[in-house]
Amino acid sequence: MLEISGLSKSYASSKVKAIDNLNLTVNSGEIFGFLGPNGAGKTTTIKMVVGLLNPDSGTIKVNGLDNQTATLEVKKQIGYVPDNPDLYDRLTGLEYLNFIADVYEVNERDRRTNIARYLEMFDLTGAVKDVIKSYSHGMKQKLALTSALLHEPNLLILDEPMVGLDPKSAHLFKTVLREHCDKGKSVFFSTHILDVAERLCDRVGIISHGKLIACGTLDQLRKGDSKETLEHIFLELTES
Amino acid sequence: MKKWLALIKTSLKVYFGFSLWRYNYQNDKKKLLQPLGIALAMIAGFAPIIYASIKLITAFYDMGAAIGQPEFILMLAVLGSLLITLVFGLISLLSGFYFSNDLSILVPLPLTPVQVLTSKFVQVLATEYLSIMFFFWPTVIVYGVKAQPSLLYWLASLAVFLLLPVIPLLIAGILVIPLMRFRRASSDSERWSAVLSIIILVIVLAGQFAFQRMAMQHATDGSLEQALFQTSLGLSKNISGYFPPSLWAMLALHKAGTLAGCGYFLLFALLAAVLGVLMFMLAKKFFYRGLLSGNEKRASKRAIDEEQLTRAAGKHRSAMAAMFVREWKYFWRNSMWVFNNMIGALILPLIMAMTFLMNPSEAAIPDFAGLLQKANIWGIMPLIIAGVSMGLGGMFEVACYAVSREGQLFWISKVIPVAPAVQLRAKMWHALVMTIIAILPTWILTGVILRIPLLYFLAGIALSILGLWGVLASGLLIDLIRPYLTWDHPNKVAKQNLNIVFAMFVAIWITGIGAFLAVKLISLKLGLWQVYAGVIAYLLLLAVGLELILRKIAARRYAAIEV
Repeated sequence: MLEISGLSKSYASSKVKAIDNLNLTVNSGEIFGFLGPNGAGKTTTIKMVVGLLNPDSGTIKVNGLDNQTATLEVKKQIGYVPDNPDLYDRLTGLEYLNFIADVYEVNERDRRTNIARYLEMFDLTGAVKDVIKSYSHGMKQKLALTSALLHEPNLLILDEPMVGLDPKSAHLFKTVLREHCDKGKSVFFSTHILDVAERLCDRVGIISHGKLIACGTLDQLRKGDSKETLEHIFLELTES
Repeated sequence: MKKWLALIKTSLKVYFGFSLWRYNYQNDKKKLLQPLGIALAMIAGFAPIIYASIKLITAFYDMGAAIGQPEFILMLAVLGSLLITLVFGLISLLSGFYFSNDLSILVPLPLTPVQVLTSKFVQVLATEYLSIMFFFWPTVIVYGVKAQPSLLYWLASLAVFLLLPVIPLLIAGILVIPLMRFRRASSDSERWSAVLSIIILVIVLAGQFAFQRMAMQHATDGSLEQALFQTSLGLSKNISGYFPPSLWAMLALHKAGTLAGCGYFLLFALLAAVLGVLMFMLAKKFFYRGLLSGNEKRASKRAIDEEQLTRAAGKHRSAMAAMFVREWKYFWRNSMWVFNNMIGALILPLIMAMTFLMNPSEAAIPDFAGLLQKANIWGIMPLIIAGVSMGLGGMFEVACYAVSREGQLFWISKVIPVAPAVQLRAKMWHALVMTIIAILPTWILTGVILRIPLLYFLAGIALSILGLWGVLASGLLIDLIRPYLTWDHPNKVAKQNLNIVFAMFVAIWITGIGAFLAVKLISLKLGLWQVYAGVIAYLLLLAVGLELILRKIAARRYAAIEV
């Protein structure tokens, strides 16, 4: 579903590579957790995948399509929730969802069904006619996820989706992600919450200083030691 | 006091991004070349306009000198600066006092309301100096060079310049602070502020016209002509009727180096001091109450039933229509943008309307329609309308901030599967519609006052729209090339962005070339239809050419803008 090869990126004001020759694959029907300490390059990688940043070198393919050449086709296959859900705060929640549905060309039946379903699930029905400005962080996060799911994307990309969510919303989030993958679609998300990654992810990748230092299923990362927690593995790898 | 100064210093650093400049200098010296290049480009680009302005001011000086009143150009500079500050400073003041992002940081700190308010006042004042300097200094320099006053004139000029924007800002503050106290938490506080600004502007302008009317009535008791041209300082006294203390500032310049000049300056400074004390007294009482009542969030929690949801979610629009609606809604719901964009457009028809409504005698209004009838220039009236509309179009910010307005939300435009060319086309249509709405009152009032025959009037509007396409497309192109997306307050999109200056410059050139072409074709004694064909061909070429450029670079530019 997602294939990242030889991806590198440096920022203009820094000689240090934010991402250094990153290679990664996310399979269909899989939840992939992207872990790493602060400043490791998780958000930079995600931003390159969704087209917010340009890579210095390397390729990113979604369903075999290169995001640098088949830009619009790739965008249609992705649903993205950023780490800080800055949305059009002067639109109402419903106006925003309609806008997203229009630009992703979601047909009227699917639009109605999905909007109703997710608004109810995330308890946003009572707020959807209010301007986004009046929403709490968690409500914005849930609205951003709803908008990302409207067109039922093949690849859902989420940057730190659990930050600021209450336990009920976090649980719903996880349920939605699992349901999404059960339909044969993929989820690629970054997180600091190792417990979530441990319970939810089919595979995880750990990035440090712009380099992928480990990637695989939890069992593969444990290397046979079933008592080893993800937290231990993470700390060992990132501090060494 | 130390705390106060530290607050003002930090506030200026944050607002003007001085620390960021230093950071850029230390980390990426190339970034510093950009403002230098912009400054050079501006000097080079505006040289002809500055030259023409100086020529015009010099001509005014000579006219004044011929009747023994050359100082009246100083009066124009002083009054113009006061008016500019009042009109454009008002919204900045409201924005600075009540909508700055850092207020949520400042309010919990152990600072008094007056200290917080002062830091914001100084911040707004600093930006107003930048606004009036291009208006004030050319006139002062022309007068200084031609009249050869004493050296103290230059010192007085600096002192008057520093004090000039203070007074209108204090007046605005005195009106704003108590009124903002009454904004309700449940209302849209920004919309309330914009409405408030318009009310204050109308009150202040009406007051000025009332002053002027009294002055005129006084003058007409004797002889107006004698009062204007034969009395010492007659012209200046008449002009200062709009705001009498402006005469003190002018006299402080005109009589610089004399005791009288010093006295007039002190009088002007005393007025500022009195207004300052009044504003701070009001601030102490009302500032935080107004500020905090507006910070309360509004959420109606109106539940939506299934039927409503089906109705609201059922409409499907094309991507282009969806983008246009986004632009439209987002613009109109930002009162700051509406105010900033519309006020320049409304001020001219407002003054025209007030002149007509408040003038005591109809005879004082020149019979423009009769003059035009006599000159028999209806044939070229559409060209004149188009020229003026294109010039005005360059002053509106809708197109030249179309990309910048997205700010940090530009990520949405980058991730949605809509081609950048389509997004830009929606922005273009939005800019055109908004500009037409903004110019409409001027068109209508001009048509009514000049009694332009309907056919010529409509032809003028059609030609204007064609010309505006090119003007707005050039503005959009400028913004696409150098968007400003890192603003943290909607007001900064315009206040900390030079795109409008570049757009105005390009609009002047586009209009100038069109005017030159029309004059040239007329001087060749070609038929009117041929003149129109030439001008239409020029405007079409411009519109199509710019559209093609936008289409060609859209995707590349969108990809290059990293957020």
